[in-house]
Amino acid sequence: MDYALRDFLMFTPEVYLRLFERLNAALWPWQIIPLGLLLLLPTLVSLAQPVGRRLAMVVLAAGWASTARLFMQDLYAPINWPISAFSWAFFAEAGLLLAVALWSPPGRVSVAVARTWILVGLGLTAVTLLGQASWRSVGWPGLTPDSTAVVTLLFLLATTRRWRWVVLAVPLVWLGFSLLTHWALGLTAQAVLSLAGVILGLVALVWPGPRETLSRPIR
Amino acid sequence: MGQKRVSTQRLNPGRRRLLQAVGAGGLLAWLPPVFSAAENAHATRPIPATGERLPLIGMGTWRTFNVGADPQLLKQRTQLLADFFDLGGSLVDSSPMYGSAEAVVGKAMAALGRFDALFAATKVWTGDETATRQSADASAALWGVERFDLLQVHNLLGWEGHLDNLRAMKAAGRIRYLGLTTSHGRRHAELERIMSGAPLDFVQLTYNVLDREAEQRLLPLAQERGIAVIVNRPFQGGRLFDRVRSSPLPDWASEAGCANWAEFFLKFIVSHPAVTCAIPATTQRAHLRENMGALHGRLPDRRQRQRMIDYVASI
Repeated sequence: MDYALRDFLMFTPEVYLRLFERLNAALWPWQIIPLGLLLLLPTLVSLAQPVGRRLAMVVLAAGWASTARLFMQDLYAPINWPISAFSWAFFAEAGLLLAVALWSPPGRVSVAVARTWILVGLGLTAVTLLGQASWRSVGWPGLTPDSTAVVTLLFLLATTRRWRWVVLAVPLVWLGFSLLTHWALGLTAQAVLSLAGVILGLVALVWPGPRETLSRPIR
Repeated sequence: MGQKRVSTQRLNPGRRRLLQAVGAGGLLAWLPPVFSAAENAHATRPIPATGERLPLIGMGTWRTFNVGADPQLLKQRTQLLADFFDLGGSLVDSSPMYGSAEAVVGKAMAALGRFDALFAATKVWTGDETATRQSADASAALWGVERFDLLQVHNLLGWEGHLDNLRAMKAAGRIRYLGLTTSHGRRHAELERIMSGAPLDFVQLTYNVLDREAEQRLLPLAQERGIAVIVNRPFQGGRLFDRVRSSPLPDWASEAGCANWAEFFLKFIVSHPAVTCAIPATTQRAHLRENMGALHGRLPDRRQRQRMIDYVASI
């Protein structure tokens, strides 16, 4: 009698997708706030002044913290033992992003690159609409873990490599765990998002990023 | 705990005398079909320790009842539990390991108020062998019961200390029965050693038409020692249905009393005389009805059981 991966799952696909539905229903229509901030990020990171890039890091940090609190602790942790620990890792990631914002904000990113980054992130999120999910169960960046991690990884790829490794560990580990979860649940569309994130994370380990000449001196 | 509802079908006097003449009740399932034609006599089976009868089909809650605080799914699971009791079920099995399942069972039971029909079975799942009572009390609060009918040591975790505590709790009337569990065929040798020496009311293990290791030693030992057997993973976590998805139910299945694949798999299990109760888990009302169908009609005899094994193995 062998174990299969799904033998370790504590919940059914139905229960899992309902987590996203319940979050969206509870927050509606205030998803507009994290989405609005997401759309503002290209402008912030393209500003010459470092304050814009610091604010961009604060926005990302807020996304990790809100995901940890609203989705992971309130909804996901009651049905899955490891999530409580992951939620604290998400809070830690928020802290790391704030620390980077404070001490060493990233270099300037061209608005075209940043907009591409946002479109790719939203596109990968939209992939989850395929298969079993309905629009009610979309996991928005800044509110749910996979899309938040993917958007962060895209941001890391677009910035310099100086401190990237510091904030790479949590997203990469989470997306690996999430990929296994989605695979075991048979949720192919959600697994695509997780897999894309894992690939982005591995690339981010070695990708040099844009040239430092785009940066202004740190104030 | 309230009075339990059990099947009261009786054999006619002529058949009763014949069976008494044959002797050991364990032969009942092996007799030719004509002698098992008392259609509902096998809908329950006695717990060896007391003779109390339990319906052959119970309900497991691993994964299926772990729905957190989802109001929509809680309502669905409450209806499922109501159907289960209406269809003759009694034993509900859960564990603190199953996430929010115990709390969901408790909320459903509070909504239904069917405590008279419930045989409440849960587990102690902690390596701290001094925490048996605390674990039981925490579970009882979630279930909304004063005491459990059956308290089991989950996957033999800390079994030595927990078993001593369970005996004390049983002696004090805080539980009615005690037991141990394993699953996936794990630790059978250790379970056999414990069953051989320790007084137990119940064991829970994995047994189905493909996973039959328990037939070799554990099931005969349970019969010999007067230990009730609860069977988990009757469908291999659903994989048995995946296996037969493209295959028809054999045309001889009706001879064995099986109208669908769920009855096929469950009747194979409960037709073993050592088995007291199987605990399939489901979220679907239609699937529950199929599962509970195994409470009715004939059970396969030895020849039919072998045919069932061969057929599924060939798919």
